[in-house]
Amino acid sequence: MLIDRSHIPWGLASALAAGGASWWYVADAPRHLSGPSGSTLVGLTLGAAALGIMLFCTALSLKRKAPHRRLGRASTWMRGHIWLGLLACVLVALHAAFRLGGPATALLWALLALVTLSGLFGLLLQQVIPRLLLHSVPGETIAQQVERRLRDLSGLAEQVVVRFAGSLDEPAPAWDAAAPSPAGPPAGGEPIRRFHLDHLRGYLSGQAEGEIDDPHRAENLFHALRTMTPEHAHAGVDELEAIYCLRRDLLRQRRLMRVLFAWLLVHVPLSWLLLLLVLAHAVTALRFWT
Amino acid sequence: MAKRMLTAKLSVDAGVRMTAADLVGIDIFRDLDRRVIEKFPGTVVRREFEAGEVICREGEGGTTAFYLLEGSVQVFIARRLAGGAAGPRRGWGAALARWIGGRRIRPPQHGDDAIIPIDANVDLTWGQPRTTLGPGEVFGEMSCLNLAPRSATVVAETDCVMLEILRNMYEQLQKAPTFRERMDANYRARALQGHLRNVPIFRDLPDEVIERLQGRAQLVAVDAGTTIFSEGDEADGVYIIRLGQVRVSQAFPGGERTLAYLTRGDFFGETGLLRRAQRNATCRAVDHPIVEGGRKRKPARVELVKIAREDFAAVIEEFPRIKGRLESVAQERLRQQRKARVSLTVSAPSRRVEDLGLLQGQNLMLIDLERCTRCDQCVDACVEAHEDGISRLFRTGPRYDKYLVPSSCRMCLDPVCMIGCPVGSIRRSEDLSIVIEDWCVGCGICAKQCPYESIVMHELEEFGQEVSERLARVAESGEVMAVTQRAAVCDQCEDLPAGPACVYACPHDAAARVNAAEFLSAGGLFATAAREGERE
Repeated sequence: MLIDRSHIPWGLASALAAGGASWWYVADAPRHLSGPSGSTLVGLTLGAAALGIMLFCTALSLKRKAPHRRLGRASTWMRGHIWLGLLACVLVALHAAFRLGGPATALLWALLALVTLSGLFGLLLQQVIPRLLLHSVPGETIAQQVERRLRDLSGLAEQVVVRFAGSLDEPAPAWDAAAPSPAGPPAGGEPIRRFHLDHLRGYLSGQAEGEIDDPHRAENLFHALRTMTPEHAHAGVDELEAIYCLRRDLLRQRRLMRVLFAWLLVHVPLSWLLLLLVLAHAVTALRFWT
Repeated sequence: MAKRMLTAKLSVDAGVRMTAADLVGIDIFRDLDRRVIEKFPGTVVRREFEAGEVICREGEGGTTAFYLLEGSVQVFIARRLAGGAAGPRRGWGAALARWIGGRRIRPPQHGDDAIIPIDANVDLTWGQPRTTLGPGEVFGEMSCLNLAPRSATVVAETDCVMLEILRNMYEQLQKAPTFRERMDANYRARALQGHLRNVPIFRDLPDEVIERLQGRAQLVAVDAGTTIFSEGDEADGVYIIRLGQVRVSQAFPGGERTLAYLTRGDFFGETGLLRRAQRNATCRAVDHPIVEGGRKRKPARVELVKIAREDFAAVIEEFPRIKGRLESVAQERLRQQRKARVSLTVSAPSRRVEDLGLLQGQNLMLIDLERCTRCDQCVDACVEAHEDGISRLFRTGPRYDKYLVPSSCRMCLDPVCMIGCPVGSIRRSEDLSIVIEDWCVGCGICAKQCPYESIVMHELEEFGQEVSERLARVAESGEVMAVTQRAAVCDQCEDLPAGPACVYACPHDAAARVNAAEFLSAGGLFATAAREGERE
């Protein structure tokens, strides 16, 4: 979600809540001989509030399973997820009195840190990658169609070659501007056919690497190809270049989309694990509280 | 149940070619000069069908009309007979579950008496979607003249003999007095009463008044492209469409705006019956779109029924007790029309805005690609929000600056998708969204016409074994009906209080529904984009 002015009320409210909780913690601390802890009324209340927030934050993944249900606007949920999630970190710190505790609570701390950092990383990616997709992938398509479109490109390029060189396997006749032959295979398309065999075919099938992988070199190669072909075949070069650019766009889109969603592979499972362990911690702590 | 494959071929090659000598012996050709008939050899064939044989099926293409010589046929809409959408469950629990669930079950917007216009001199209704035609009746006229898809399924009820006629000969027949009189008489007898009852002012009138009006109704024909009346003209009566299409439009500061395309059984200009008012819209006869081949052809005619104010007044004079009631109905209709007229001001659009047809959008969906994380929650919500599980939104389409204009209904100013539906199942609701009624026969003409690919044709999964058997029983022919698909269009989730599900479900505030003209004229976000788009 893009962080913009609409987040200011949420940020302020979260900061106020964190400030209020801190003030309560500081005010309550002198009353306890052994210092503040999670077992005091204040500590317990703050811990319960943090647990409630964690439940809400984890429920977002359930809400996403039923996007149409009238449980509040998805964007409101997302803002709450971001800002209340950050607030929960403060509340947990106050609840634990800024102590790491034993191995079990240390594990909880580690998980909370991973979940929070992965979430912040995801949020950072969401500020950057949609813009990158917008500006650097003009040929963007629906994610599920990327693979199919990539597969189709080889066939499209072959059709262009056949149209301008007559065949993929047979050399095209040379172009004679003085005596253009209206019948037979198109003349002057041999450089296009050779270019396809030497550079483009491997690139489009993804099976070979070459200098065409580099966009700047590719630009030079297409420029050189234009100089080698008669003017009437330039349209074919343009089409091949468009196909080349489309593959480059689609590959870039696939790469960016993977990055855009990869953080969720860490964030979501760890969130659920954290919630389970926090619930176990709460049940155990309450059993021995009195 | 064993199912036979269909064998009927809608081609003039499938029957016995009729010569001029054969045809002059048939009453409807009697008025035609033999030399005229001889000019069009091979345009009429005599066809014989066994009882139970399918003659044509709803949604199929067709170019011929049929004139029944012997026997009778059943005309029905298989899709409707197979059972339309089930009504919503009742009760508080179901209502609460629906509210939270957000799943939309649109209740039928029509009663059992809703007319389903078909291509014959008789109409079907929602409550009675089947009828019988006998000797001397014609079906398939719209397909023959306007290339409209077949509007209903026709099955031979008994062994039948009929003439299958191509357009050039049918046009000659229309000029023949005997044929015209017979068609007019059939129409007056079988369809006109239903069409009159469709007009709100006439709906509750006693039968005797309607019978008088039937007698006074004028049957008129105009060529496509003719302006029937213009905005500002003095209203002189009501028109009902018997055949063809009429475009209703109003002038606005930004240009002319199409309010609706009307088809058989629809009416216009009814407030002019009671008072000397000015017409508040322009009505033009339009041709049916050519969807196959695109070959040039002569524009088709539009046939209308006109009830003049003077004729209506004369009838009402005989029944003074209903005059007061009619006045209140007219007042209400005028109030509704004034309410429906909304302001529309458009500043000069950019070239790119015009090219993309964005100004057509009265409720245009835009996705801000700087915000959108491509999570597809909008599409998922659309699927989940409709009981048929079909998405009306596809996250693909042209880009305009930082916005994606996805494939989803824009509620166009000029909804050309509405032109040519053979059964009038696509209409505009009061909030201007496009609605496809349950009796859609799946011909796909609306989807072909939408310039923005916003209408989806989808397979009807329900047409499994059980429904096929029900259809077979309906047709009594042992054959599976053809209708296996229907059209779906974004209905803007008009009955969801939170608005369209796609926008509601976007977690990143990237999706929005906007009125393109307002965006432009307000100088807001979209106008900024317009200026940036100009710089590209």
